[in-house]
Amino acid sequence: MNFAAILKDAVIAFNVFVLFYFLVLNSIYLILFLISLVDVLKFVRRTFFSDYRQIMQSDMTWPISVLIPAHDEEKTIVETVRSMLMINYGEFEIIVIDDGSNDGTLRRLIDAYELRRSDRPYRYSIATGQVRAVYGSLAHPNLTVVDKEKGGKADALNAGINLARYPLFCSIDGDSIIEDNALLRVVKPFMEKPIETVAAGGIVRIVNGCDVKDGRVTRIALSDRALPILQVVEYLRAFLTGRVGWSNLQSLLIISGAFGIYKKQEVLEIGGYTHGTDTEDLELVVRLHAHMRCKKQPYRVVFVPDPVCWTEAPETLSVLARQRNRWHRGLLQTLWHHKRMLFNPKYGNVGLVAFPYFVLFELLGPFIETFGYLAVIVSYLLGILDVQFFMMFLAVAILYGMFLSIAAILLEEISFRRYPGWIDLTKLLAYSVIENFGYRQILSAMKVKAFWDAIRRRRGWGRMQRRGFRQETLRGQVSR
Amino acid sequence: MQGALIVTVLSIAAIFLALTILIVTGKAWREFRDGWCRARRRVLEPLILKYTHGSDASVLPALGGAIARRDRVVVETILLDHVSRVRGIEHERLCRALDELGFVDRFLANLRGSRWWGRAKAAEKLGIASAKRATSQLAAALTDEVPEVRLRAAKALGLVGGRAAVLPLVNALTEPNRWSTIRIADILTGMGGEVVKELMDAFPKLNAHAKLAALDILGRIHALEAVPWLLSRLDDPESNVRARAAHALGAIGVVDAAPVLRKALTDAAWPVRAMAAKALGRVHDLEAIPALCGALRDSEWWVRANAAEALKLAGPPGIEALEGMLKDTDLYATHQACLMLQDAGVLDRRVAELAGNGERRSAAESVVSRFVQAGQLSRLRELATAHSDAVVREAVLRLLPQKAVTGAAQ
Amino acid sequence: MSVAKRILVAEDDPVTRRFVVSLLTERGYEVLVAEDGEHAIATATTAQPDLIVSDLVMPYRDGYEVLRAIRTDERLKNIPVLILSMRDHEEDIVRGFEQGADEYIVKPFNAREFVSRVRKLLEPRRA
Repeated sequence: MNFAAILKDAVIAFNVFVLFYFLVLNSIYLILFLISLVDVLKFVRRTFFSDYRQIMQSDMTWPISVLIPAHDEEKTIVETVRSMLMINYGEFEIIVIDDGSNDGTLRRLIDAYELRRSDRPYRYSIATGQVRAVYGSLAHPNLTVVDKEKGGKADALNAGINLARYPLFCSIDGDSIIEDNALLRVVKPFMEKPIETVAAGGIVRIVNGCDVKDGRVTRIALSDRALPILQVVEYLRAFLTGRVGWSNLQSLLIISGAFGIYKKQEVLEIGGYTHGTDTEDLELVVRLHAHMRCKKQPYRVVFVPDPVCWTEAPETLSVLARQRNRWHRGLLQTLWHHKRMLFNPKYGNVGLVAFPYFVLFELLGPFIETFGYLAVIVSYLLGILDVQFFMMFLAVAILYGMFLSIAAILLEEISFRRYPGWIDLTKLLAYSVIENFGYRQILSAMKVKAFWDAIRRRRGWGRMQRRGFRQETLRGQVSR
Repeated sequence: MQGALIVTVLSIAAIFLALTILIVTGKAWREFRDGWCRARRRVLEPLILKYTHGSDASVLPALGGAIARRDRVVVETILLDHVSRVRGIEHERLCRALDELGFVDRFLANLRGSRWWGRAKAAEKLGIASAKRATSQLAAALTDEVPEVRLRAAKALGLVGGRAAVLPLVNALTEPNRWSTIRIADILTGMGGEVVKELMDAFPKLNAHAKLAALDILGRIHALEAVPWLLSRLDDPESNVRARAAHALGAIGVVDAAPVLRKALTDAAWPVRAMAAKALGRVHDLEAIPALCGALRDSEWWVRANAAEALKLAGPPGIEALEGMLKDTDLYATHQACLMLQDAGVLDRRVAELAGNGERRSAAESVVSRFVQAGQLSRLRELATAHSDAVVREAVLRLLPQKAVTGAAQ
Repeated sequence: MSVAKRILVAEDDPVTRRFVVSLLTERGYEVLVAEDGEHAIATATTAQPDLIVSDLVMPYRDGYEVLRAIRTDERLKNIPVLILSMRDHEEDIVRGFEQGADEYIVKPFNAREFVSRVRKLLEPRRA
């Protein structure tokens, strides 16, 4: 019994396993990319002379209730509401939910919009925290403000749903910027298939480095710092090549919390958002899937690559770590809570495709990746592996990944072309290479830590240091 | 192993390089082309607009006699951009230009093309160009195998207009598998009055879903000439049809419909009653007030709510009737009356009158105490603490039951 | 002859803007252009046009805010304003007039009719 030999064999076997893992993972990404390519091309072909005007004027366009949960946002809330009131849409209402703010959020709103207490009845269709008052505005009849005691974002959103008048509601983050035509675009799937569509999400893009004036993005550009650019590449890959593909396979699990639109009826049926999770948007969509499958009706959850929500990305590693930690913990909580869906044919593609993918590659994946890198490097250094294997590993893990990152840039260039400058394009190409040498690996390590934290049942938000870009004009320069 | 490795690495590197080159050259080409188009547009657009605003019979003189082949795309875009934004004489002139310069013929040819996006584009452009002579081909495109082409052909027919365009669209309503009924209904609504006769004629052949859509369309386009026909729909054996017909009559808002609507308030099916109540609200028929008060006692919430709303919309006599219903024995009725009076601001008005004296004050007290009896206390509680006039606050407090007062003080 | 009347056109859609500008220029008016509400208010304040043609949905300040700014400025409050907008719902039209518009034309619009109304608004007010 040569213990050393067995150990050596085991290590080699593990390394081979890691190699195959990366091969499989990147091939899945490749397949998703190809699906997305076809879809995006079709999508771009669709809108020549936009019929958005017609949608806006049509009586048949469903009205939307826009929900803006807010907590301690006195600096930016008035601007946020103002830019939302001016969006391009036919009939819509804005409901701001002040979730027990301790600062002057409510006062600022009352002053700015001439709010008066309204008799609008508030029904506790979904149980929420205590609602202290409902305000209406004389100047803007479609603005409503809810003053409630603190309950968290999910609770605030539920309160908004309780009050919402219209069949569709849209949840947006207080400090994200929605593009002018975003609502017109994101409502299209509901117009095309009104009965089947239950939820739709748009794309989230990173605003760091863009010029923002008066709550509107006036010039699109990349940041000067490395971290935001890396995230831009990552988001492009995740959204354009990932979510389009998943949406096509009817397994879209994530609609960004920053910008998603849902059918109120269905969400009421499942009891609204749930507390006790860090990513309530993900949890809601998964539960929506489960509910619709149980009802055995044809339905769809759609990703629309066109409507854009601009959001601020973390600029330092520590803030990024906190953000990803929370996301990953939320993912794990949701997967665990709905574990009955795994490999369950009752839940269709969601159970048979999406869930296994997430469990294998998002849950276990980070472990395999992190320890895999370590194992391969150490093995090579110890002479257990030969050069060829090491090279192969690098090719499969890193080169393949680079190829996919650049494929995402290609997709962006042929479809939406938001980044017009040559310098920005060069930056994107460069960073799509750099991304694979360190950034992705760090993200994996963060996910491993998040798993550990989730097991220890740690929860919470962590404050993201937002610079509040609404009032400032960022000229591509970050002062820090 | 060595060979496989080298091949793998090289192929990945090659694809990588190819993609980069693709991106870069694609972008360069696009920028060049866009810049060129913008430059040509700056030259050509003012000339075309000059023709549009003027009265020349033909666009060619303004363009210098002929268009260069490479300018055709730019000219087409300019014409299509503007023709969709304007109506009337200038719209006609732009359409004529599109025809004269051969673009319409080109679109028609592309409509028969082999690639689906070519056909879809062509259909869309024919619609924007209001090309009446394309109607029959667009109607044929309604049976195209690709849904996107069918949809654009339908939209184009909607824009082109005319009886020849309406017929195939109404027929599409009878094919629920191929078409989203809502889409077709939307297009038909946009066409206005010319769809009325065809809809009424085709009605018996439509399926259940489409019948409802047809009734909706007639309501939304305010088809006055369809009113007698709609009134007779209120005798249809299908309750859904009766309900939608009532809704459509309300949307059109003609007082002549009132007697029949009043009768429909006693229909066996509750959706019909609900829609009849809603329609009576839009029609402003004072003679319906007693019947609406009766409907306040209906067992279905929607009927009661719509009846209350209708009474509110009937103005002062309706408000009076609602206040009268506060004394009714039916609990549902009093509750609904309370809600509607509060919604209409009447409760607030009455509360303010508590500060006065004489007949008004006693009438106000009577109304407020009815609210208390019905258990509608929340607004009163709020007014008891928040109203600006101290006399009023005191008066409200006196009328509120003791328990409610301690509740408000918390 | 009299000096050419000056018209300010506030419109964010470039195609419509070019159309309206060429239309009015053709008819002999002097035309100033603004691409958004804020620019419109600034231009109106400095140039004091004889008429303002404004869209409703514009960036930075929408048409209603432009109206409010014009109507509350002593020097500008008598300038006639014509709203040219896609919004065709009753509430929008009523609100436009309530905020002080003199005319409201829905897009897609009839160009000749538009010119007649412009001409009418520029006539000296009948006593």
